Amino acid sequence: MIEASGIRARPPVVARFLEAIGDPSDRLLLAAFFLSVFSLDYLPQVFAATGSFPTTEFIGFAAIAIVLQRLGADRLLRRWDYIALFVASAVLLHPWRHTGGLALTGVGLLFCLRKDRRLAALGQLSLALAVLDIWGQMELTAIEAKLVPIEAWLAYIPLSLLDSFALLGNSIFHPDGREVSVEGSCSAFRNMLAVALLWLSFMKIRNLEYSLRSLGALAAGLVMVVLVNTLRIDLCAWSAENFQYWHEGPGVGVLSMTMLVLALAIFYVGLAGADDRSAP
Amino acid sequence: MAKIVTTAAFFVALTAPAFATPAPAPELGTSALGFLLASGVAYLLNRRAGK
Repeated sequence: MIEASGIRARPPVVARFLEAIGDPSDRLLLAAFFLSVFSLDYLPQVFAATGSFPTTEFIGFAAIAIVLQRLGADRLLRRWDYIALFVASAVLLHPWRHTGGLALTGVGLLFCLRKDRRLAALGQLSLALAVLDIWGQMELTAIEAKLVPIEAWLAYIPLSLLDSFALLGNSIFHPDGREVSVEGSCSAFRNMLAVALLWLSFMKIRNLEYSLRSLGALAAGLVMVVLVNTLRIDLCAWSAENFQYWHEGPGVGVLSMTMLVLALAIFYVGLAGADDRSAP
Repeated sequence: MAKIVTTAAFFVALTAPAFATPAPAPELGTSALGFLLASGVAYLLNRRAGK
């Protein structure tokens, strides 16, 4: 391809790339930021030795990608936003594991109350990811002493109907004297946060406004998590063999998948048929 | 300056225990299969949003 001037024209892809770099759109800047956080903090978890897959966080980023797609070529960021994104990106350079969570918190607070639905959605999703990564864990540490006995009491109710179990604080005593203690790490709290992130992601993917129906779906998801976790504590307390299976063995994966499938079913039924009052 | 130092110290004290707490087990959807299922639902919802 030779232009009239005799200078070889750039292939369209290269020309588009150079144009994008020379005058980046808001979407490109935001995509670069979220892609950095995803690649630095979340993608490595897939290859981690523990082998656990960050499903809810990945769905959160999928929702961010879909919202970014809706952003199109619109110019929505203000001068201060560019500076904030620059600072947040610079923070990511630090190797501390939770810098991504801090950067997401800053960007989330900046965007979550914007009038533009798409920017607000990005802010809310950022905050939800940050809560799951940092702030939720901190909150659990703060309320653990009060929360865990309540969860132990919930688990004790069905057990007390079936046999002569006893409850003392956060410990459930089997009739044969065996004791099962409900620790903070056994709490349903983190899974409730994960379910809330899943719900928010689906809300943004579906492009819905908050309504009684959608909030009802969230409430149903949260209740489901508490019930499944209570059932798990009951199964662990029932016998030593059960404890081994449901706490250390394949039962962990079974309950993990059960919770996810139930949450997906509840949210699909709750959100798929809801009225789409989407704005842009 | 004192305010900044106090705030930073408070922040560190507040956040430090959080990172020492182990993650609970089981966590919701920690397998690739779970991710595929969730992606399927996300895809269906996105398709409905596009209609």
